[in-house]
Amino acid sequence: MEIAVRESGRICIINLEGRLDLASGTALKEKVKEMFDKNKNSIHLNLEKVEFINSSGLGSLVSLMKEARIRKGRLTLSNLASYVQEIFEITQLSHIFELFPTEEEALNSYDSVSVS
Amino acid sequence: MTTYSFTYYSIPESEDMMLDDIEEILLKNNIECDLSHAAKLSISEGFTNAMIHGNLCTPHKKIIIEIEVNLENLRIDIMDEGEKGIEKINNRKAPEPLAEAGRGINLIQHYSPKVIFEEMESGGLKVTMIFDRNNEKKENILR
Repeated sequence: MEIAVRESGRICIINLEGRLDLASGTALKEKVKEMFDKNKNSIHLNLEKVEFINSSGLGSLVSLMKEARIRKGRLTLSNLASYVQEIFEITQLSHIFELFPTEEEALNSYDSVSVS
Repeated sequence: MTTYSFTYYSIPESEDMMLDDIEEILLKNNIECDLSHAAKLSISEGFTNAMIHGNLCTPHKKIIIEIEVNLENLRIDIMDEGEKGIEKINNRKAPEPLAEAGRGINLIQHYSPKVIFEEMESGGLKVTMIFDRNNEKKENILR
């Protein structure tokens, strides 16, 4: 999986490409931990190019969301392919994560919410 | 009928190798779209369970995947070298909403029309998943 990080103001935007599974989920957690260590606690993941996700990949996202919440930050997700969206719905994680159709909508949502 | 057999060690790197192998087999047999997604996800979940819960991530322990493809069905067997496989399946609990694990079996049961869990003589678990290729075709036509 390719993990590309960029920053937009106080928000770290991470573009993911490829499979999000056990190994790549671990790599993603390590990358986001680097952001957390810099006190960057507003993380947006663009999943547009995620072609496959399994329960291990979901687990890594849950882990990151919990860590963001502990740090009074947010983890938002956008651009889920229909297949990926379906897995979030089956596992009922669609009710727990902040999912947005587009990256722009996700980033706009940070304007109205106070986070660190 | 065409059969394939793959053996992997219980190391994280095996997962990507396995998915590459499965994608190739599915493509070679013209299994695409919804059925391909369902099979890949189910195999991935079965594989991860075999590695983590069956083989307890012991690197030298193997995971065997056997695939049979014919015009009617796609049948997948995933076998591990663990112990008390059925007991672990029976004792599993529904995951808490914020749990980081425990959703794999539910996903297999959602995506696989027929799933059989059985304990082998060795104590390892064998998970069999059978997909009906013709039903998938009919579903696609209806859509």
